[in-house]
Amino acid sequence: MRKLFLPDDVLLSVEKPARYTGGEVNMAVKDLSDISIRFCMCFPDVYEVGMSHLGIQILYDMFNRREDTYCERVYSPWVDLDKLMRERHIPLFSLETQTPIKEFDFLGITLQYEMCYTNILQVLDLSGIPLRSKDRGEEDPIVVGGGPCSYNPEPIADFFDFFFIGEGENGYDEVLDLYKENRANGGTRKDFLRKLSHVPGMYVPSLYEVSYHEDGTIKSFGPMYDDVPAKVEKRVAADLSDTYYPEKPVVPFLQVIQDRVTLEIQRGCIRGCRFCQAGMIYRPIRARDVKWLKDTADKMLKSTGHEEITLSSLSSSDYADLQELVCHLIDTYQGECINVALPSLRIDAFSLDVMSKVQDVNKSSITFAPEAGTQRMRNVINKGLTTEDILGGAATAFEGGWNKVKLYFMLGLPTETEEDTKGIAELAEQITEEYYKLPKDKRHGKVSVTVSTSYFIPKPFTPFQWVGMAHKEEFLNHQRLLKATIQQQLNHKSISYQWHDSDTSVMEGIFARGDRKLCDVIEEAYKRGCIYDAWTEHFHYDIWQEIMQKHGITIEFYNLRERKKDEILPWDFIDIGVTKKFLYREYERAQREEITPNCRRRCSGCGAAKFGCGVCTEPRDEFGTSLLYDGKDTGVNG
Amino acid sequence: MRVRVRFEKTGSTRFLGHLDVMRYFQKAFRRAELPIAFSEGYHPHPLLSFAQPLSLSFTGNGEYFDIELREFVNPEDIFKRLSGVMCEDLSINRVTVLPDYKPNEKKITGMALITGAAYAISLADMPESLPEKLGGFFSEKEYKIEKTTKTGTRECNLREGVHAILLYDGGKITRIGDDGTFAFTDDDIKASLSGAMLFDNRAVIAFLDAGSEKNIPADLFLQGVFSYAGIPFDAKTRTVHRMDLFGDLEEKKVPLWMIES
Repeated sequence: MRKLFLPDDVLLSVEKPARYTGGEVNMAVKDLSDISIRFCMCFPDVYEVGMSHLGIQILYDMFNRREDTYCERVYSPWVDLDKLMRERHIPLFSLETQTPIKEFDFLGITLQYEMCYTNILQVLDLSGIPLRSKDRGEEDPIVVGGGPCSYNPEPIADFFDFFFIGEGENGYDEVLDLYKENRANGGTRKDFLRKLSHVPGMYVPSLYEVSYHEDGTIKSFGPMYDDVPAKVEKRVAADLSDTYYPEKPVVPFLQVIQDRVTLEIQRGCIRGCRFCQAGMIYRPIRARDVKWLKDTADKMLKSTGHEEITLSSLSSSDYADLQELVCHLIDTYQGECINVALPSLRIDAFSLDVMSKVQDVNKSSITFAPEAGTQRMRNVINKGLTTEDILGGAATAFEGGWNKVKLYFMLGLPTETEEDTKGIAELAEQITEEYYKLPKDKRHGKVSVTVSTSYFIPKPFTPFQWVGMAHKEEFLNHQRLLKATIQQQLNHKSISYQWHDSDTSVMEGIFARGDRKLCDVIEEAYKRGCIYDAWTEHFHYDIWQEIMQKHGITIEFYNLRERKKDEILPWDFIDIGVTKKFLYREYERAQREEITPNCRRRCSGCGAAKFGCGVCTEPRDEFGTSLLYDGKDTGVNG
Repeated sequence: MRVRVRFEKTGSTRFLGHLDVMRYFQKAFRRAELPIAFSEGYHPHPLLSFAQPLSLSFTGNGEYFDIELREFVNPEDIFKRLSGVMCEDLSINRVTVLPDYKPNEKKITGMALITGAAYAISLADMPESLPEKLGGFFSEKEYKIEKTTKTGTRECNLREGVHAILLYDGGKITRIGDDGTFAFTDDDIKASLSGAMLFDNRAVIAFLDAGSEKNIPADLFLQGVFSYAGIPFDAKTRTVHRMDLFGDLEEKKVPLWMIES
């Protein structure tokens, strides 16, 4: 029997103690006497969020296939336990063997969103690991970061010993082998990190130095030693049908957010929406073989007992064998009462047909993500969806019995005018009109259109990485204008409007394009009690404002100003394949409101072809069009 | 077919809530590829019914649920296949087949049958005088205490809900009092102590009324006898192990698995 680390009275005084007890189905169990590397994988948020993440399950499975390595898990203690651990000086521990984190060789932290940054410090602090890499000794675990936010690791650079840039399936063996070798040779932590910096994809922040101009922009950024590379190239898992995938993922006892089998059908995206970071950093798009997916789905359902399976990708409609896969899943598992949860799909005859098979048409809604209200604005962001696509899709859905539509938009996009904002309201109105075109006897009650807006946040490695983010007041003006415009329309009673909190967006903007100067701010905010910033009820904007002011960190510099073409950006040293030149060209095309074709229709020479895989190697006709091009210039729901 | 599954919940799983245990077994039946029967409708749910929930932090050796399967499977097969897909500390120890419902028969599930429960309560510091005080308590006709339920606080006679008190000490069982309501042997007791977390391998064993009619929770019993003995009670320093759940059969209370309905 595993002994629990927390005493019973502590477990009984916190909400959902099963967050901390481990022992779930498919948890890795190993004999520690055979293990030479202990790796603890962390998602710096509460258990139910962290356990819903596919990436950790992939890496957990991959590490545990190594006989010499035991990978365990840890998540952020919720605020109730956090308080008790501090009061009673209880260190943070792993779920599997209930071992203090400080005893591990590695602590790997996945960085899925910027607002988790103070939770990283919470995990380090509760573990008794010094917050800054420079203060750590031979006894401390090596702290490594990875995931989307590691593509601009600078705001948290001081807290990590190294970052793994790219896809974890390709490269960790080199890291672990090097670690063992260094230890066997009596090498120090410093020796290891120095050697590690020679491995492609590994960024060791302490080996690089930054200097700044008087205006705060970067003057120089580079390695401190000749043997340390100036550029860090991301790692790519070239063949996704021949790599690690968890056939036996851990099955949580608690109801987690994604309580189902997740099947990643492809990675990357061909669409090139100019605001989307994932669409750039995961280039080139690589599909998994449909037969492999069917086999894997079966193994995962059998090993977990989950009642639901879902497909994951950025733009599922671009997966060539989608129809075959979805029909197979429905035909095979519906009789077993296993629900097939559909990903967001382009609304057409096929998707409506499968939706009607797996959902209650009367209750479910159809979703479009036009992101912008006018064609002009959609051209700027390179979202190929047209008003005709949306109205046509909605009309077909209404005929099929649906009467609920969800629409997703962004406010504060570059060059956005009042007309573009009003265009959102008009589009919603047009959809309601489309419904009332149906003869009365064909309608199913009232139509309901839900408009949701979030605020546009410029992200690194996108064509908009140079733009000035809108000021909070501008966001609020757009939001008020949109609300007022909807109210004035004839069918306003059928349209509801929901919007996102703007203060969180301001901080997310600062972190997203921030530099090393932010490390001090994040540390101080943490010390002033900020954790769980991603949770609105725990986000204290006033504290952040106060600390930023103290450190001379301004919203003007990090968010509002437009960056110059020749400015050294904090993340320029990372090579994602997609070149800065391509991104700037896309930025210029955006300003000219020109759209760029998707990767299958025509290659735009972004630079990702150097990885020699995926869409970049698909056979093409004499016009340069991929033979897999489906003739559709509309992606997911658009 | 209908089956009744007796399972144990020990070790780290004693911190799983009732709903989580239900979800666990639903998924376990799927992993075992046993054909669960579902309700009709747009959101079919498995025909699964749990007996009395176990309080958080309690271990249990005789926990129960009833489940319906779409087709007949040999109970030994059910036991074997389910056992093959269990996690640590949450495993099954008995499968019994129940008769199918007759058409229009009122569906009675395990929960409604429950009339008794046996607990092993272990104290970090067992007061030396406790056995004697327990004897005194058992010889009383009446002992009134305040009982708080969802509907409010009322007075109840704790004594009439207590049918037997035993002392377990390192394998030795001493009967302090027994009114003969519960059918059990020393071997039954020893077997169902498996998974209990006992201080000094000692425990007070109590056979109490349980179920929807009259219910004496383990802690209410403990508080009651401590107050009778005049000893202060601290819930943090005890462990509780539910040994079994009981139902009525021929004037006796017997473990639920023995009742074939």
